[in-house]
Amino acid sequence: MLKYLSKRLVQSLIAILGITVIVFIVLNITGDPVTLMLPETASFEEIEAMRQKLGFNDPILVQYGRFLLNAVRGDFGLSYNYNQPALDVVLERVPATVTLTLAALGVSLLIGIPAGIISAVKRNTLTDTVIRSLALLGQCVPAFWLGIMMMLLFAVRLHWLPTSGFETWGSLVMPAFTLGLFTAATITRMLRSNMIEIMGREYIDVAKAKGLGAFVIIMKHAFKNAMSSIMTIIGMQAASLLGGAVITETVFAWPGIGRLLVQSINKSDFMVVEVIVLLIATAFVIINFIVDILYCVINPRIRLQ
Amino acid sequence: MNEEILQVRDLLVKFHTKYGTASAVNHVSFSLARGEKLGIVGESGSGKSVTSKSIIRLLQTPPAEISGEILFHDTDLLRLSEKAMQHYRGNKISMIFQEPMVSLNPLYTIGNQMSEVLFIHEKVSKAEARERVLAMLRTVEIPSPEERLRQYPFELSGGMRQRVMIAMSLLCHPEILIADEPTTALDVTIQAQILDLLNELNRKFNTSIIMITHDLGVIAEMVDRVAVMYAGRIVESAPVKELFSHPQHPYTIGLLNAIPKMKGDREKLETIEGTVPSLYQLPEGCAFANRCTYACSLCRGNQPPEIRQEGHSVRCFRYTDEWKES
Amino acid sequence: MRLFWKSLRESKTGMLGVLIVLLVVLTAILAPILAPYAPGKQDLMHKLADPIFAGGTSDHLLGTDQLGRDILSRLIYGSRVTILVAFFGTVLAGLIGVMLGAVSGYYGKWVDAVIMRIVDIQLSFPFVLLALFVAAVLGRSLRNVIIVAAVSSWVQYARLIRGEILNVRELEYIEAIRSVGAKNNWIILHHVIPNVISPVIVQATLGMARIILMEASLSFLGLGVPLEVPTWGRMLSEGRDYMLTNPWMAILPGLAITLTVLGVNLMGDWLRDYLDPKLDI
Repeated sequence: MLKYLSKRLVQSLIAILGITVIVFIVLNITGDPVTLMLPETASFEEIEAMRQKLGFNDPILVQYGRFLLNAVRGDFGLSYNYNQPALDVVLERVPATVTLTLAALGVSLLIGIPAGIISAVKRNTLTDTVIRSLALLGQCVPAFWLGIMMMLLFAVRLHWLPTSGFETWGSLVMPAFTLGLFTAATITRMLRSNMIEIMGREYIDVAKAKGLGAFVIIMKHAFKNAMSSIMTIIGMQAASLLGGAVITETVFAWPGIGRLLVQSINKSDFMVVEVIVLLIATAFVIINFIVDILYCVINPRIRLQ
Repeated sequence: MNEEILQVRDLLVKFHTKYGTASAVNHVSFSLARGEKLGIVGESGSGKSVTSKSIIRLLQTPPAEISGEILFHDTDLLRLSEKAMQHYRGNKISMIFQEPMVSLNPLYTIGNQMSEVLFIHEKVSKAEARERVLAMLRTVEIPSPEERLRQYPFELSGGMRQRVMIAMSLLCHPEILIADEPTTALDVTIQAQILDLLNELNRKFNTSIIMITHDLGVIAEMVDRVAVMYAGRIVESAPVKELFSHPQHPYTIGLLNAIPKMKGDREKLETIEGTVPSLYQLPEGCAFANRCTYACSLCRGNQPPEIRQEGHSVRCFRYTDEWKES
Repeated sequence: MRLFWKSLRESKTGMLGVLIVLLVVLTAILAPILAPYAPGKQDLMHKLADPIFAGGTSDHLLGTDQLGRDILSRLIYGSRVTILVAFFGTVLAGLIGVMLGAVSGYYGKWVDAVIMRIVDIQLSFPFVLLALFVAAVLGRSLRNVIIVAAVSSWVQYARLIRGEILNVRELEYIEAIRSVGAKNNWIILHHVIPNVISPVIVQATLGMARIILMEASLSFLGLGVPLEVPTWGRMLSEGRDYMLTNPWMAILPGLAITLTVLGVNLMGDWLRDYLDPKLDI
């Protein structure tokens, strides 16, 4: 297991390194931010001097090395927009995004797992058809539209929930559902097809021949196996919630890093953009690593070898 | 030996699929005495596995539709509720399967999967369950059983897993053990060991065994009585020695001729010409008629009757009075 | 081909999917003929009119927006961006993916290692984020949206092709035909392509659904095509500001997106069942 995990850890580190390269390259394509930092009336000499001072004239590898070193030290430069260190601007908003993402993950698991199991167990019945149709629909509805429709219904018409912001726990409900529904639909569909495949395995027949009840067979013998095979995909889905948060936060004016990202892009505040992209990508890699560990825990074959 | 613990009467199993209705088992009747070893032999698709699965009701209904009677002592298993049936499975009647490599759940230890059987059927403590599982692992001659308890299926060989399956199926001392091709997936040497083990357990616990196989070698080595199935029917049934020495049904004769003989000249192996009819469109008459060298118009138009003679029964017109007349 | 039609006729949902997709494609092609107004034409006298079924007039069947532009016409023209991005994004992604996958599977060694590392990185990178990032940096344009769509979905094709090539390389008969002088190109053409064509088509269809949603998201965030081009995502985003008074402005474009994605998904599911029932993407 340690060998497997250390291999995965090295892969994760390489992935993070790769992402820093991408971010660095893309940011370099944009040209340097010097022109943005100086007033428009600045002369060519002034710009040149600034470039020299900030190191934009150094060889590209030196620049990358410096970028990496600064990133490791947590120094990402100042946000032009907020006039604060970019990292601080971002970190301030992390808790809101973490709250939203965890809530959405909860929603997607709480809906997706039972729906997937029920759909598989009652396959080809009306219940199954209804669940499958809803799951398909859930994968077709754009999250931002769903969010707006929920706002229209629950906040504007029914006044049950606040429309936006993050003041009370009630305001978490709609964003969490909006963000979690696509993932819930994906989990439902995957779990269903995996459960059906596993219910056809011989050890399920054996479990039945032992005299086990339907519930134990489904939960102990089928579900755990299905989970072990879709675990990595669920992990990726969980991590992609972070990406989806960008849109959901914008729709609901949720004070997290996703909304900050969109705002910063629109204001060309690239230092903040860079921090957020690196942060989310790193979180993504870490989540996948955690899923790998869980996969080992659930799967004796990998754990023992 | 004579007490009949299982009686299957007029068993009929159909599968309703999108391609039509397949008649997998057609009017099958047989019985099993306490301690008896019954072999059911046939090709794949002959209905032998479906028959065995019907007994402990492992078939999904629908698509399967089962009718007839399966009397265990005096209880008709087909009339029981699913809940009541669970009490019989693994407890009074157990089953072992063809593929030991995939019969155990990969995520749980051997100990967990075995003691599970005891926990559902009997009120036992953890320690008690452990003791009984260990004892049974010793009975099936598994080396270092304590260690096995903590192991996962992938750590055991195929033969070892089949021993675990057998041990698991015998934990509650069932009256009947159904073995569905238990040795097909194993090496020849392991096959012999497993058959010896089953024979010994049959003697030790007086468990009746229904052995489902396509291998006449297994039949010869194991069972007391044989039922030959073809296209969902039992075409011939007799004590094992009688069947091997005096086969009557043309299909049985064909099967026996297809066994390579160790002694004698290297003759060309005989095979049965033609193919098994589709279960979706079984013929009106004898299902074997299209492959049978003796077949006449009588066979093609009518179902052959069952002819019994001192424990040897056969479904074939050749042994009827009409045939002798014509 | 006859089997194809038979299968399509037997699958109600597949048929529905194909019909929806055809409808959207035709709408996009025939937009200038179908649309009652030019998409940018402002009718300031009739701003924020309701659709006809919500008390509006027959001048503007689906009402008008905050600048008095006809919503029906904008929806019709909006399908063009959707279709263009979905089509060219998928084709480009397919080309990149097939090429890199083939190179990776064929040359193996360090080439394979490098490409597969890139695949890993891409897979460990949130898809929307990548799109946002690239769109932000490259600026708003149709070309950029298509590039983003392609860059974010080539990975699946590369994996499919590479997997199949590795698979084929293991087969003994390939050794045999290679020993009688078959060239690599010939092997790829006759043994790899026929095996991957079905999964690639299915992947392309389902990938298209994803791209449509992505384009809508980008447009919604104002990071897609130039702002003056009508797109469903953009319309929705504008409609959001008038949600309290004119809910239809936000409802209608959302319906258009959902319906289109549904059609593509239904078509993809049916194609999967038809081309390769065992496939499960």
